[in-house]
Amino acid sequence: MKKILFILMAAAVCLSLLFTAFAYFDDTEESAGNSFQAGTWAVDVNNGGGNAAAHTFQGLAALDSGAETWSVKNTGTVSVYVDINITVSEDGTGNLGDHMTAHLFVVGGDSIYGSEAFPLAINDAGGGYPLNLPLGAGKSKNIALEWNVDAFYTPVEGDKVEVGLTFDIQPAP
Amino acid sequence: MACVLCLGLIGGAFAYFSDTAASNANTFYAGDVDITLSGSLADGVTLDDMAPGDTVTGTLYVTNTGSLPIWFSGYLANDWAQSIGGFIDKFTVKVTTIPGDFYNFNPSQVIYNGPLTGLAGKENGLITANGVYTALPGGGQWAGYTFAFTLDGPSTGSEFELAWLQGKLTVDAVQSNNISWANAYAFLKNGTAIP
Repeated sequence: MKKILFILMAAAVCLSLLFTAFAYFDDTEESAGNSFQAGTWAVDVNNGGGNAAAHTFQGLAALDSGAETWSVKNTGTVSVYVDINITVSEDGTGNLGDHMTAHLFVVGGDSIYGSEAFPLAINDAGGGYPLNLPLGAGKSKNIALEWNVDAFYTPVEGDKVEVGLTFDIQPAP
Repeated sequence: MACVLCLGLIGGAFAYFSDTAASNANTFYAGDVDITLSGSLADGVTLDDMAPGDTVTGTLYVTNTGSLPIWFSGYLANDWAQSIGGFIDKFTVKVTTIPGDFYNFNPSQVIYNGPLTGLAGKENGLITANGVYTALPGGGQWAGYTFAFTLDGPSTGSEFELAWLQGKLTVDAVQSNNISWANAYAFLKNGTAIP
């Protein structure tokens, strides 16, 4: 009986040795809290509360000319980059859009569509323009459209062209 | 008398010369595993007004101030908090080594470049340095890392304006002496007991 007890005890000791984890030294350190907070990013066009505004050209005659300005302001807390998307639509039975040329540009900056010397047909101005125009928080920039109606335009009642500018915010290029 | 003398000789002890010498004391001290964190991320960085596309960079230095060489693993603690669900998913992080540390990769190596959530939790820890199976010696040797956190530009919509994200980095260390790389890896990644 004593022998059996001894064998059982020895077996128990051996098993405990087998399954005992290795003792080791270790340490853990934790940093202080790191905090990242997003700012706000938004632009306002012509103080309209949104990022888009349109202008309608109508009642024009041959050789008329003029300029329209869109003011875009960064109302967010972070600097943004601005791209422009232009839409052009013509209503009525006339063809005012075919007789208007335009030069769209950043006031004090680069041309966006056409140039001062070579304005282009406004009907072809639609599309996206990845300007990557930097605009600091609280800052504004003006976008101007200088336009001319050529000498061959025959006015038609109700003929009008609407040009819309939408300002999209992009991350840094 | 002759008999008494003979008996005295038989029963008397033999005289001898002897000596005992003791060595100086032998002392065995256990070593220790102790790390400290330093750098801007250890102190905690705060960045407000992040815009989509912004990157903020911080440093983390792991110094082995103990006496034993170590394996170590760094990861995001599990208690990162965010004000809007999914904000953490908008962050990526690029981790690079800093030349001049113990491992002295020059040029520095990118050891992780991916979603911030890819470093979340012990199981996703970055162990020592990528592909390096050399333990960090004790006595003040250090390893340095640069973390570049980027708020993704294209996918971070205005719903995340003013959202915030807060959290800590954790570094676990374990002795490397008498522990195989595989066992240390299992311990640091999964908390598996070292056999």
